[in-house]
Amino acid sequence: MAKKEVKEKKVTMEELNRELKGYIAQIEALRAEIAIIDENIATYRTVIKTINNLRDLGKGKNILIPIGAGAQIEAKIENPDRVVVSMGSGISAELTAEEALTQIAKEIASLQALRRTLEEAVAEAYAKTEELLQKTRELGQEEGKASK
Amino acid sequence: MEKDEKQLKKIQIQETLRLLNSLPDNRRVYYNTGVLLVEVTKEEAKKLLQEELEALEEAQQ
Repeated sequence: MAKKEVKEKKVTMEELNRELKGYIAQIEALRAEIAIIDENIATYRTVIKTINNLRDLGKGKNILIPIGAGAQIEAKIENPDRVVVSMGSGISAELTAEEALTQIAKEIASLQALRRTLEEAVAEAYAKTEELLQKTRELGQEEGKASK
Repeated sequence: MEKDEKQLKKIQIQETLRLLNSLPDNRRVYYNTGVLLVEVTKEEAKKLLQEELEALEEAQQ
């Protein structure tokens, strides 16, 4: 009888471990998503800074455009108040700097909202992990007692 | 392409069409051909998106 009980607990322990691994993998995946979101937010912030700096510098300034492999070509700013922004599906459109800044602010806001949701999911997964670890410890102790 | 992926692409195209329609007519529009952005008219851009949308809908049926 005692042997049977120990066997049943072993199965439960395996299940707990499997579940635990699942949550850990989930946390890692969520953390990776959050890192990508953070990178995107940082890129958007750089774009905001660039648009504002170019507007401050004004029309006619010489700039260098990177063309890859560290090479750059010289260009002149024709109109810093016109920004071409991707609208998705392979289409880009010219916006005024103000419109572009508004759109970028919206993108940042939606990314931050998504980030908060993912952070909540991470917190939930952490709580579940803690709960499972506690159960694993308890089971381990019970198993230890039963085998004595 | 998975069904969900196609659905996502359709939603994205519809959103792009919505944004495109909200723009004033004097704005320059570009189509990404892979590496280069080619200037197109707003109507051409809408036609390209509609075609893509129709192709996705046909593939889903």
